[in-house]
Amino acid sequence: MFGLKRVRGTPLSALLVVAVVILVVGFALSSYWQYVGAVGAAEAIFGLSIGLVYGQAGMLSLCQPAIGAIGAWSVAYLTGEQGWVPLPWSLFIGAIIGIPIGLAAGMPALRLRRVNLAIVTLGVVIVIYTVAKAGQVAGSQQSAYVKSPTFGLAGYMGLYLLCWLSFTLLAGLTIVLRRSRWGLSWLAIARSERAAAAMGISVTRAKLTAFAVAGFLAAWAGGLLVAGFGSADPSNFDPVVVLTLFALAVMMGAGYWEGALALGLFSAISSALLQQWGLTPDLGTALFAIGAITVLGKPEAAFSVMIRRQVAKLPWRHAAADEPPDLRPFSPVVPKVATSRPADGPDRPLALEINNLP
Amino acid sequence: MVAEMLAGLVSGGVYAALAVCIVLMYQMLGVVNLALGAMGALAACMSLLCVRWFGLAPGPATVVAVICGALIGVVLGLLMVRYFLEASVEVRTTVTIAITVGIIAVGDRILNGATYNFPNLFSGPSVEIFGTGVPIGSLIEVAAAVLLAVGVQVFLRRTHLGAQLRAMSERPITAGLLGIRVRTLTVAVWAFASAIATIAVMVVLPTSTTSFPPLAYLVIFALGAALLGLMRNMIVAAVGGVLIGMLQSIVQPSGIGRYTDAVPFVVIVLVMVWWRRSDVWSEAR
Repeated sequence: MFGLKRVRGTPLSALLVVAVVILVVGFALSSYWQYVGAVGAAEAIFGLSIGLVYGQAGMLSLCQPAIGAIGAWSVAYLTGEQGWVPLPWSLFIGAIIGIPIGLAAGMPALRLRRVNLAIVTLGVVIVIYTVAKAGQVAGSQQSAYVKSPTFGLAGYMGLYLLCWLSFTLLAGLTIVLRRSRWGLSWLAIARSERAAAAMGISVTRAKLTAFAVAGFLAAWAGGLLVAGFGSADPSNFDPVVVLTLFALAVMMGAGYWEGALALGLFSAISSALLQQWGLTPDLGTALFAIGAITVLGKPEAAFSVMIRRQVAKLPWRHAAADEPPDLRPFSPVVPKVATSRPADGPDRPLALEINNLP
Repeated sequence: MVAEMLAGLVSGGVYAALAVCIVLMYQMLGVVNLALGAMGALAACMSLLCVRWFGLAPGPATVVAVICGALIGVVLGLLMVRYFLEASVEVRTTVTIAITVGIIAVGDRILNGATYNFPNLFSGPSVEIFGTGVPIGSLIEVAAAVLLAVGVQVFLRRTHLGAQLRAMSERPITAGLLGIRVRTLTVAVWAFASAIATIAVMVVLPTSTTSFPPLAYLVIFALGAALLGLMRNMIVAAVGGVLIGMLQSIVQPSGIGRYTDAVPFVVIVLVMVWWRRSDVWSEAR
């Protein structure tokens, strides 16, 4: 259906190995850390959503985590308020509802680009936050309480399993899509819309599919947050939270799944540790900001890029490196502008020489 | 209706001043400064601390805040010059997102949970317009914002320094090779914009909550106004800012008053998509 190409096994295998390790570790964790881990998985899925639109398709959209509100309200309404649909399935329904919302949020991208798109999508964040605060949408009232799933397991292990299995499934989906026609069209429009169109790629379809899939991911993550927190708290979609997630996604290089994973783990664990040490979460936020600025000044410092470079250096990986050397988790390509004299041969005459400038 | 519109002049003037600074920074430095509101808010907080800790009068406290605002601009300008002088617009803009997050974290620590009282610098006599009393201060504020837009545009077009700034915005490296002090000018623009943003935030400080983020979010509406000016025309951006303030004020008492903050953006998105309806392809690529 998606025109899928053959997916090299390595990224999927690595994801599966990491997922199995995380799930096994979960059984050894205390109930508190299981809860922290579950929240981290939900945030990691937000990272996948941001990474897909910005990292892969090169569209500077800031609204992905805010779209998670749709999934949150769906789960709160269907499972908490009405009790019509049990939890794993309400997540899916919420994510499906997130697709048209993601498309609607992405529609301006058909005509707006770069910073204009960033500003408009920041406006979408404000719109969603305003609606969340108003509490008039079904499921947005904090009275709609959702009980964390247990699946017969002790503590928060049920929630932990649900969240990390969700991450594994959705990260696997992004890996498969990255190699599909959709994923390749996202990479193509990130490089050059005109060149992509010249190759027969529908730029409109590429952009809309990116926003649709990202909307699905974000809504799923929003639903998981409600499963963890119990209700759709508007503060989860506060512009500061949304921008912090965006900064973290840049810092970790969430264009790749391991960057998204690091985002979730780092965000949740650091918040929990700061809380345990009696420090305010603001300190963590400030550190995230410094980290993001560092990565933007030196893109190869992004976590996912560092990991991939180290893996690529392994002796058995040389023959089967599945990524191009130019790793770009968050670096929308801009045309190179000649800013200096091109490298000439030694015998080429000088075109222009200026002396004695002030 | 007229009364509500006139009541929106205060916030409209703030958005207008911030929008002019945003357009100035975008045109001159190639950065959409999403941190402008947070920078102004952080500096404005300094005035609150000065009043509380040192017992300063509001006037001197305001001067201290503006100086702090300029210093914050200098520090961030130096950061941008040092590490992001040749980065793309997207990267620089993303840096300002990270700066916003960081400043909000710091500002939240300063303001959260504490109650500060700061007198309204613009309170005073009113004039009657269409049967509605309008504080003279808010009229001065709007006039100042529009004058700022006109003044900056005249400065850029008519002065030697303005010509240097325009040269820098077009070809920074070429301008540098011709002897223009690109780094110094970049830092100066950051400091100027930050100082103006501080003044803008000081205007709404007495009427706002004691929470820091809403002060930082002022820039979001200013960004919308800057978009209305297509990030090019400062006068249109200033007028757009005033109109957004008025629109919010009109919507506030209506049935959709809960969605006051959302309404301007719905309008802005529609206007932008309509204006850009022929931009099927990106300009650069």
